[in-house]
Amino acid sequence: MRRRRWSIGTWVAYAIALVATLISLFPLYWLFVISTKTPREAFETPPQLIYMPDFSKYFEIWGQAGFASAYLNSIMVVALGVALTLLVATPAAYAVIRFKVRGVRYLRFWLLLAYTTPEFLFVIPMYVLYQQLGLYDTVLGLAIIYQVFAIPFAIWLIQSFLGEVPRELGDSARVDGASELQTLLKVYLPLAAPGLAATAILVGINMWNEVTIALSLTFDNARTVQIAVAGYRGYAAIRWQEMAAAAVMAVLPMVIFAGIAQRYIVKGLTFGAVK
Amino acid sequence: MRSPIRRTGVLLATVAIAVSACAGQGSTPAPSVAPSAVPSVAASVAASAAPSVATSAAPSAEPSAAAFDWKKYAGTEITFLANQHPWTDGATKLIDQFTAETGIKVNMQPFSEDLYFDKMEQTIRSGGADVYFLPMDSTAYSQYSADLIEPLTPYLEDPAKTAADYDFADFPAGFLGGALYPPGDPAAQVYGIPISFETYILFYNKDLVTSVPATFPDLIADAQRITAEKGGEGISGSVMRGIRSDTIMDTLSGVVWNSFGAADAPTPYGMWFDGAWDKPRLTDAGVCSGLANYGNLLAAGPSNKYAIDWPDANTLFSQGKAAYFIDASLFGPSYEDPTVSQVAGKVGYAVLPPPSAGAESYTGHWLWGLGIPKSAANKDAAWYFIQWMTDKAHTAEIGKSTGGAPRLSSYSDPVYTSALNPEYVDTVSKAMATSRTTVVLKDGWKDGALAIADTELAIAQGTDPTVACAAGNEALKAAVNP
Amino acid sequence: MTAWARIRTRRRDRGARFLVPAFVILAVTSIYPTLYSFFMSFFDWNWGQRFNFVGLQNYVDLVTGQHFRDTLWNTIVFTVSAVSVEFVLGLGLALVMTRLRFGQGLIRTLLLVPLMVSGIIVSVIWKVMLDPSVGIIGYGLHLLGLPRMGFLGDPSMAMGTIVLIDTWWQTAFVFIVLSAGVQALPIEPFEAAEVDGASSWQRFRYLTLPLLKPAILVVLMFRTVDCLKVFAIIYGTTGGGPLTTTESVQIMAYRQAFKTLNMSASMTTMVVFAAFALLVLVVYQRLLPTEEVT
Repeated sequence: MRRRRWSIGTWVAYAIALVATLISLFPLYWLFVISTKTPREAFETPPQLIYMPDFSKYFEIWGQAGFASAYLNSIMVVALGVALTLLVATPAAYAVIRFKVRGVRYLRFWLLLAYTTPEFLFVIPMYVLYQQLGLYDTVLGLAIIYQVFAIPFAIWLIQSFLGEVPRELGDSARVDGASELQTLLKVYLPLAAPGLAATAILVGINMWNEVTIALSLTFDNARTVQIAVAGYRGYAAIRWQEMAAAAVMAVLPMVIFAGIAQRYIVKGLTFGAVK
Repeated sequence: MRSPIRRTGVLLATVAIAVSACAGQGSTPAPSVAPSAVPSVAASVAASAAPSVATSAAPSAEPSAAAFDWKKYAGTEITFLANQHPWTDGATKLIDQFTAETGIKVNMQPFSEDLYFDKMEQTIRSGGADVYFLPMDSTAYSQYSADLIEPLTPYLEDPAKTAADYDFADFPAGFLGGALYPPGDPAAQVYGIPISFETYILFYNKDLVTSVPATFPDLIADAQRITAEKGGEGISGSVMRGIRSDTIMDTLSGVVWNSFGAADAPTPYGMWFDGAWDKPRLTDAGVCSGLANYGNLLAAGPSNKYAIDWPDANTLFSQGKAAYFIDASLFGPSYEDPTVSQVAGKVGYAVLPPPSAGAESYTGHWLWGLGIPKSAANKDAAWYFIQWMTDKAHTAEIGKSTGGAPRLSSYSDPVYTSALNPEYVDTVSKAMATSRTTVVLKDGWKDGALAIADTELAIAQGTDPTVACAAGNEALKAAVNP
Repeated sequence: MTAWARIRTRRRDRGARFLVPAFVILAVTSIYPTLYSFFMSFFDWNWGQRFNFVGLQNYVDLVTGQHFRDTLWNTIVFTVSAVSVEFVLGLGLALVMTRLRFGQGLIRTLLLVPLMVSGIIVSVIWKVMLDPSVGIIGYGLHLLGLPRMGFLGDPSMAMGTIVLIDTWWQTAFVFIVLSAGVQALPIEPFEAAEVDGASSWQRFRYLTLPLLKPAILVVLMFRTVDCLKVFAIIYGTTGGGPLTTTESVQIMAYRQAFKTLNMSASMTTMVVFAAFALLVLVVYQRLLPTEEVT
């Protein structure tokens, strides 16, 4: 079909989309600018739009003990947390779709309940418990508490992905003598692997960005990268350039992941929401 | 408040720092409660100035024939929970020397100030630190009341534990009051050894201010004028701590002392109470006008004034965005450093302008100290650390980083005295002569402090001072007498 | 018995094994703390020696005290404002996207970026930009001849500013969900309506909205609950100030527990608040038309 001339409506639509995109991205651009200028230059008015960027802080922040270990902590928390989630949620999701488990109807409500629960309702008792158990301010402790949100979410997502696998495949494997576990591992998992990967990414992003729980249950040893960014204060001034560089480093992995997994994110966010 | 200093100040020897709570007056004991203790040091010269308060602080041990055994606890390791403060910078440089002389290893754990306070409370309760930065005010008093901290007087009085030349009397009595408990008790023991002090003075930007205001009302008027003229450029007449928090109390106290003057105000009540906890006196003319002064000066600040805490205020002034700034003297030296300050060479220093022409200027002071939690594992080694770091030589040495050395002898020690802005030095010594403690010793003082902060904030937002002070008085009474 | 029958009878007992780990973790991290909070709310504990049984006193104090009511009201106002604005903008953007001829994937990805940023970093960015003395937005206002407003530091504007920050952050969520919903809309009814002469507005009102209802309700529900729980962006920007104007319920609980060390008061606040949030959830569940299965 020959392309028709664009109507006014289309031009307006593009204008709006452009404005929306600029508004969405400008603050992050500004953050980057601040990370490459000394505070004096960063805040001077009028701001210099063309300048020589100073990337020194991007290297310096790694030398500062706090940030590097916080970054590592975040990586470990996410790795451990996501692993734990997949390990626990996959069999549970499998059970949901394979067996007539009574609780299926409540699964969705459980998810919503987990999302509705305000963090501090369980964080404060966990603070007390963790202090006694020695889990306070540890990567393991954080990875465990994150399961509160991660498991229901993962079960909900994974059971949709597993549900796409034709039932007959599983049944015939069982008839051939495979146990349920083997059926799960050999039949379902390979077919649902992309979905599992998507779940892992979504859960991972949430854990990486989580603030409230990390703030309360860690202090210095297990401090995550988000809390470290907030901690860039000197005696009498915020070290803006370092803080901005740290913030960019904290955001970058997520933006990259999101770019790669964008369609999975859309799928994950909309799963079940739209018929 | 609890803020940092950097370098040194040359204090005249005469600044035997009449660090008296009752500046200029003799020691008039407060009526009812056991008074004596605390600060009424007549202004006299040199080290002997100290203690009629000898009762509390232990006198230094008699010179013993045997040399003091510094290596007694060699091999131990202690954990030092520190605030990120210039004192910590100075002390860090001496840690290796300390370890070499005593054989004690130090595990330093510094935190930025806002995190430090949380960490401190957690750690002294659950254990993990042997020495910590102790705020010599009601915070430490609450810790004392909860039986969490170790009295240091027994260590001071034991010649086996404290070196002969430590000379505890070298600390002005007025500096110890914040950590002498129970307050007012003749047998009070000291729970913290001072490491750094601050007093509240006026900083002004010479580019924006032509002449120092003679009185506080003049100051407010000038600040308002500058804000009106230059607000569009992002420059304000004043910048002050404006957040609603108990942490602004010390600066606020300095401004209120200025209006309250020399009248009697025995500890632990400070000027806020008339001799008893159920008799708050925010409605007193001096107190209320002091609160109004602070509120009105705050109101002349930038449009986000109620979100500004000391780091922001300090930064704004240091970037030349404000004409006047009243706060801790510690900030002064950093303004002269051109690598971090945009106003180097343009800062003027003055004592707080008196409330009326011809009146005397007063202000307040506050201190950080070192303490030992009861949960510490190595108390004796911790004490060695404290006394080593706070002895004469090292106080002077570390004082170079802070500018607030709390020993009298430091001011005649050439190590401590180094070139600095003479106007700054002069101002601090003048301020010290009429400075009174900002400390109120009550368990749970935070709520009371908030009630007072609310009063000042109400005035800043336009409430009539008389009305605000009356309401604040009621709130203060309720907060302190639940 | 056939192989199939054998499998069927064994199915039910297998299920339990696979679910055990999930329930164990749930019990420890979710059920136990909730019960603990509920239990502790009947005591007075300050993380020190003070530990007395006080019955319902904490609840009475909380509900009769002005502070909690103000804070809850603040939180509700914030929620209603933020959700409304985000909904309108998100829906608008989703509809706008349908008019684009190309580049939708790229634009959608770019619009999704704010959502990938954590609450703390969102706070840091906006705090810098909004500072009246040194921020770029203050400068922009000055260029336009407007006064440099206090934004996060002005008690009358702070909460509104937080709403705007949350909008920048979370509109993408509304947008992406509704976008998928819009894309899934069937074409036929719209074509038929156009043939029948229905205007754009009529098509929108009588076709688009009703067909999108499930997606809209889900989006509103998630946003509402999320906004009620707001913590990170307030903590990172104002901490509840200036003068407590931006204090949300979770900020209040945080302060009670970790600043004033009043554990019991904090747990009481959370129990009451959790009940409230649950109520909101139930209301939304009633409104949702169908029970989703997959």
